[in-house]
This record gives sequence, C-alpha cells and structure tokens, in this order.
Amino acid sequence: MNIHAKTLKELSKMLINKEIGAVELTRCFIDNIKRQDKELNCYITVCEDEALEKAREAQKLLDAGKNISPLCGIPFAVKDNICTKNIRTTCASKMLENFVPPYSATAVDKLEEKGAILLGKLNMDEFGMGCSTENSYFGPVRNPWNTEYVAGGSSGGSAAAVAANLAVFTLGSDTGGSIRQPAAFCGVVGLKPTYGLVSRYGLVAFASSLDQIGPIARDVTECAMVLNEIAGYDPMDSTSVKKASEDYSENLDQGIDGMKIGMPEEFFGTGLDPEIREAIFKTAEALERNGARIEKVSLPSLRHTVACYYLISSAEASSNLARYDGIRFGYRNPYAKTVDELYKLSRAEGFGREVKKRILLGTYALSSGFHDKLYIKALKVRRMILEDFNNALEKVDCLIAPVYPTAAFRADEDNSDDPLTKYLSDIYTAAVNLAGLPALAVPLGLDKCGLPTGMQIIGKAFSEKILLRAGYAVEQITGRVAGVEKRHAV
Amino acid sequence: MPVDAISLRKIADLAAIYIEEKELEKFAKDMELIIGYMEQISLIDTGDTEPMSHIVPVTNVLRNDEVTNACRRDELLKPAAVTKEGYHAVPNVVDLS
Repeated sequence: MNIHAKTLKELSKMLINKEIGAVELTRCFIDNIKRQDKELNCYITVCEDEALEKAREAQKLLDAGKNISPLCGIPFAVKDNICTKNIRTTCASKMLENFVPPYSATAVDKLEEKGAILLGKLNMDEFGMGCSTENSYFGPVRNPWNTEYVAGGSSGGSAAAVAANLAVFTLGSDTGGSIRQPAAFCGVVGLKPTYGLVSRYGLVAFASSLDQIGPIARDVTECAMVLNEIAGYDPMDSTSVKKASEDYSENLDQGIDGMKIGMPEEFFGTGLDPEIREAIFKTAEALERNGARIEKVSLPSLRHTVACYYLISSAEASSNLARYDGIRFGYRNPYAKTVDELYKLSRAEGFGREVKKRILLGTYALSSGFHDKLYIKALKVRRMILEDFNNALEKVDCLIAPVYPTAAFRADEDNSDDPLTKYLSDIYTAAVNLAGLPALAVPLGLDKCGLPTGMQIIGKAFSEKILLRAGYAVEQITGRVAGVEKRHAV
Repeated sequence: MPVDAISLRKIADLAAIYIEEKELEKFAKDMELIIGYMEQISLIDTGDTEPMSHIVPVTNVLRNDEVTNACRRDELLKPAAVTKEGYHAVPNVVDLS
C-alpha cells in the first residue's frame, strides 16, 4: 500500500476505519524522512520520540471514536520560526541554535489539540529573510523535483517536505511571499491567509505588520482542512481579527460559473518567464470555458512594491530583532567585557549576512533624516497599493497572477555582486502582504525542464473561500502535480 | 545619499552590530546599491495619502490585572546563556574603580 499517495482525507478515513494505526502512519513518515532528508535537508529537528508518543495518544482518541477531527493522527511539521514548547526553535539561525521555547504557538496548539502529530521543525531562510532557503545556518534545502535546484523560500523546508512526502501537511509563514513562492517551486499548494485570520502568537516576528502563518499541502482540499483548524481569533495576538468562523472545505467543488476573475496587466509585463505567462493564460482560458469571466484590471502602483516592501519589512525587522541582545536568550559572545561589546559581538556572530543587511537597511530607513523621506513615504505608498487592490477587487471576485517571474532557479548561484535582482523578483507576492490580502498558490504543471510552475489567486480580505473554490477549479483543470510522489513513493 | 564605510559604521553602531573592517566595504557597496533603488520611492507623488502602518485598525488590548500563570522564573531563565542567582547576568555596567 502506498501511503504517501493518499490524500489527507483518505488517510483520515483509513485512521477512523482502523485500516492503519496512528503510530504506524507516523513511523511511515519518520522512515521516509530518514531515507530522503539527507539529500533534501528539509528538517532542522526531527522529534521522533515525541511524535510516536503523540501518535499513541492520538490512537486513544481514535479508539474512543467521539468527535474525531479529520486531522487526528495526521503527521505534520512546522517551519522553524513557529514556537514549539520544549522543542528547539532556531529560525535557522546560529542566534537561536539552542533556543527551546517555554510555550507553543497558538496554531501549533490548535493542531495538537485535534490530535495532529508534530514530526519536527522545518528548514528556512534565517528569520524568514530570503527566497531560496540557502540563507540557513543549517545548510540549504534542495528541490525534490531536481536537487540541483532550490526549493524556494523562505518556507523552503515546509514546501519541499510536502512535495517529497516527508509530512502530510506543513505550516509556513509568509511576509513577502515565503509560503507561496516555495509552494510554486515545489509544485504544492500554499495559502497566505488574510492578515489577522490566523494567530501570530508564537511566530517569531520578522515584520509584524506583514507576517502571517499559513498551510502548505498537496492539494486545495487539504489546505482548506488545515485552515479550518488554525483560523480564528486569539486574545494572545492583538492583531488577530474577531469574526464568525467559516467551514473552508465546504462547497469547494461548487464550480466557478459566473465568477469574475481579474488579470492585472501589470503582473504580465516584461521580466515574466514566457512559459509561466503561457501556463497562466492557458489556465485562464480553461477557467473561462468552465464559466468564469476573465477581465483585465490594473494595479498602477504595483511597480513601487519592491521599494515599499523592503523599506517597511526591514524597518520592522530592525526593531523586532533588537531583542537578540545575547542576554535573555540566544547566542552570547563569551568574551565580551562590557554590555555594549556583548550586544555588538553577540549580534555580529549570531546573525548571518542577509539578516545583518536587512537590520542595517531598516536602521538606515528609520534613522534621523531618512525616516520621513523613506519610511513614512513607504507607508503612504503602501496605502496606494492597497487602494489599487481594492479598486480592482470591486470589479471582480479574485485576481490571478504569477507567483514568481521564473520557476525554481539553480542552487549555489553566486549573486554576491547583485543583491538587488532577487529582491526585485518578490514583486508579485510582496504587494499582497502590503495590502494584507489572502492569496493561494496553486501548481499549474511542469515546465520544459521538468520543474513545477505555479499561479496565485488573490482575493479581498477574508475571501479565502472564494480563493479555495477557484483553486479547486484550477486543480480540476491542471490535475494534482503528482509526479514527485512517484519518485519518492515507498 | 552615498553609503560609505564611515556612514555604515554609524548605522551599524545604531543597530548594535559589530562589523569587521574587511566586511565593511562589501556591506557598504551592497547597501549603496539597495538604498539607491529604494530612494526612488521619495520621488513618487503620494498627494495627500495618509501613511498606513497597519492593515487592521489596531488598538491597545487591555485586560484585567489578574495573575494568569504561576511563577515561571526558572523556566523563563532557561534559554539564557548566563544566569546568576535567579537573574540574568551581564558584564559590569558600573565602573567599580
């Protein structure tokens, strides 16, 4: 029996019908991690003993048989910037190499309360800063489709683990595209929820006004099932939004007849790989044949996204990362003679180069003389970007757009003389974070090199149900990108 | 503004990060390129648009001052590299001489 080809729904049914036990299923995934992960490097920490213990507890819930969540007994893993009580949470940084949090993130608590089984913590770009998961103190993550290519980032471990069946689903975090871009690179589905829908309590802050936790899974239905469990108001997060709960997996197959879908012309300009453009246009035509109405819309401020995003996110990061002082937690230089030296040396040795660069950039943008010219200006442009999205989304139900200008790029590319190009490539994803909107990345198939291509569906605030319904329709057209499952099948 | 080694040293001091002399130039070069690009934002006509720091209108959340957990001092000191008698320990901040 090929367990890894089963969907979350099928696995849940098998657990409930006692065709497989929670311990057996968990062991199956741990074995797969041991087999595959040396090459892929998705996991920073594997919690084998804890996972098997939790699987035994989940089995008791399954045996008792009352009000069983579809996630009970399902093995999952989370990005290593999401706190897990008594399990180290490193943010892929030397700074937090030995940090063991005394509490868990709300999203993790919610999943564990339902009996889902935490397999371990996933590799990422240090503190979420990067787009290839090569900026990790624990080494780079490789793309399961072709290990000469990157998995994307910063949630590269979260996306690659799902693609290679090293977890049924995972959680990532998205500040400027960090769930959607690796999901697109690895041929899986990733959702960046509306800002405030999922609690950020326990998510190590990078840029607090942009960060959001979201699910990565192999298909839209699975994403919806996970979102059902993690969404909702949390008094521990002051930006969490109070609203009535919804069943995100309901009516996914309702179809898209009459749905109005916008294609913002600015998303399809120069710089976009022609193969990705063609894949999206073909998908749009197919959606039209299925009853959707495709309309052209415009987001004139989109071109300011990258400058706006990097100013705001770095400014917030420089403030958020000030807490790493070498004293209360994290790396501490053992030789510092004064407090000032202790701060400066601990931070110099504990942070990687990209993190330092962002802190310096943010400090610059907030420093006297540049605060109004750069930071406040970026906040004004942020509102212009939001207004553009609002105007476009008044006319249509959702937008479709590329996730990234290219498919996965080669690992170990030396970009040291060109720090800007990778930043500029965040244009399609980061705009969505600035506007706080939800967006779903769905795979469209493989390109000529055999690498996955993807597309994102962007919607109004809290319109996740529409996005998931549209994503489900895309999935019916393109099919689940299942090739990698064959490669990694047991 | 061009970012040179001297201005970068000042920024690094503000950020409390020590940067070695040999790294300083490379950082300054990267920062100059990035900031050169970011500065285009100052040319955008934003009219009377108000700055937006947060997408959700946020207000202070106040709660009653009730004790919600027991003393967790030892547990919370655990992640620190150096502690002494139940406190965080730092190098001397007062000159004893």
